[in-house]
Amino acid sequence: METITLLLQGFGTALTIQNFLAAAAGAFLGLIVGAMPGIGSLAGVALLLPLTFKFNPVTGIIMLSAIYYANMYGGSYSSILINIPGDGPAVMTAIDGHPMAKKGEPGKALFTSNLSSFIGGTIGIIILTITGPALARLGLKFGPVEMAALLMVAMTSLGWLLGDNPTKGVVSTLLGVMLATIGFDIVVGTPRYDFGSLHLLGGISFIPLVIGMFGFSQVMEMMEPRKQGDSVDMKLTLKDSILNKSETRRLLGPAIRSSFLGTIIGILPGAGATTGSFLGYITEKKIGKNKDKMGTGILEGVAAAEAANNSAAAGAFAPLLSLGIPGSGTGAVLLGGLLMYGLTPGPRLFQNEPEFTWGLIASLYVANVITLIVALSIIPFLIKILKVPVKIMVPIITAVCIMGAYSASNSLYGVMLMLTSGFAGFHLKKNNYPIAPLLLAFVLAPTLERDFRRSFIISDGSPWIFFQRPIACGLIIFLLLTILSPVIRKGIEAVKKSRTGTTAQ
Amino acid sequence: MKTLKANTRVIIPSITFILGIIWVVYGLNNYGWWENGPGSGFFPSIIGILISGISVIAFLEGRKMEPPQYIKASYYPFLAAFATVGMAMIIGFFPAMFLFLQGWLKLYEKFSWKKSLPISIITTAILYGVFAMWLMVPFPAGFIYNAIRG
Repeated sequence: METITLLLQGFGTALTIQNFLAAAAGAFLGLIVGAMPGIGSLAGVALLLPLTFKFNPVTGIIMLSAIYYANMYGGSYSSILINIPGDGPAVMTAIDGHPMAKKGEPGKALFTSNLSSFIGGTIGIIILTITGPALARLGLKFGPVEMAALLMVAMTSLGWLLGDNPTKGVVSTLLGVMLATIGFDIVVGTPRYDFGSLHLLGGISFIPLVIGMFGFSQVMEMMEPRKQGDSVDMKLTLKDSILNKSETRRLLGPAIRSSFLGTIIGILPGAGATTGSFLGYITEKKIGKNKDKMGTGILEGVAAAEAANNSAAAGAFAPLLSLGIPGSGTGAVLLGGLLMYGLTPGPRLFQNEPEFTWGLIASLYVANVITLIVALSIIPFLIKILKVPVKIMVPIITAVCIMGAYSASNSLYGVMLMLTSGFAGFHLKKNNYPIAPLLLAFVLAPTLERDFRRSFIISDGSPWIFFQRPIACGLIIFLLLTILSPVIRKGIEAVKKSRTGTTAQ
Repeated sequence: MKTLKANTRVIIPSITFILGIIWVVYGLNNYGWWENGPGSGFFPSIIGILISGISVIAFLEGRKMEPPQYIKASYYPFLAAFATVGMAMIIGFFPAMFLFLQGWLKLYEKFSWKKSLPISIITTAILYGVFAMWLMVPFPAGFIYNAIRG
């Protein structure tokens, strides 16, 4: 009951004209940027981040969240129409979405994607409304030891899951932590690793780093010969896109199933929308009514993937707001945005900033409806958006990166930092180092260091404190298993191979 | 297509290894490991040790792998952005941005004036509207403008 009252108060905040317009603008911009192939949700949010500077914290974060949210919708469009996923979570959408477009049903595929995203988002937000405060209450019981263990789990599992090589995930994560230690020591306030530079003394600025790592590195990547998308010489009308009754019925089952699964994945620290859409699709392929036809261009495939990725995106807000732990790189950008506005996500956010927290949750409901309306109304114009050539996008995005980095720091240092980060990000990506863990670690490292040092003060220097408290011990065991999982997997495979070899002989 | 050769599969872990060592050395010598509790160098030194260790594994793995291919064109936006920032200090941010957009579209992409000019003008106008007018960011006007204004 209390939750409903707080949520209604949140709607009071979300539905003020300024916040409503900010959510609508965020939804529109997020959809357009998300629809452009090759940019992706992370780069999209990073590039649009400076636009939120103008607002007060509540409005700024509402706009940022709407951008993030709408990006998830937009990512599927290029998957469906030209077989080039706009971002990671949209990869699974292409499997059935593009064959649907090829069969002459591009509009229906887009409508399915939008409607499933809406269903996924709605279920995800409802679960967030329920679990967010509960997670925050649990978080209040966490001391520095438990928090340090949880943060290590959140960082490591993401590093482990992404990329083709766990070693590289760990290098990225540790690099992010190292960069975060530059500047003033957050515990005692003494300068560190500034190497005599006044700029470094202030620490590495978050926004230029994000714009460079995700926006500018993307521009450098765009210069490479790209996979040519399929032709988009098709006509799209809203009338031809609307699903009939039986099609809507076919969509509902997979969308609802995937929404619940996606939300759970989103809530888990270190998972995220890409994992959500993958598992949503695979589950539908195993248990769905039309499982044999999956991959041939059926709407169940699109529904499962899209509902899962949008619900995961919504679910990821639960650990972000209540524990201060983002589930993905994009979540890390949002966390950085919150910190930039002086808001510290964590168990106390629900208590100390109820107007902001519930306003944000309510605004997600509003943004979800606005995004659906905008998404359906731009269907006829999507072909034009997708036809914007990379040749034009490269100089425009470069210009936006330069302006955004300058405006974040009001100095050329910001631009230089952005360019250096972009250069580094490009080379890391080329060598298969996942850069989302770097960003996540960069954002989480100050909290980790504070709680880590406090734990050692409590224990007077003994690391055994992490094994003496049940929650922390459980988390550390999970962490060790995660770290050792590739080794264990290799060991099992070696044993299996040797057994097969013996049997064959 | 012009390509560049550099085995970044071993260069990157070498850099992270060196950075790790620097973090440990500075952490232990300059910032302190333990003084009535963990010192400023405690946490960064642990991270430095970990990254140096894992970089050795990444280096050994990288030696066995084929290095990635780089094309020269990937670095053009980087160089152009540097040149634009330099130009911005002389003629101001927005004229520099316009020249960058126009120069890129005309010289690199070989667009016609008819096609490139509207794109450059509209983009610069939008950037000016958003960043200078709406967000009110004080961009440098450039040496020339400052000299004329005295």
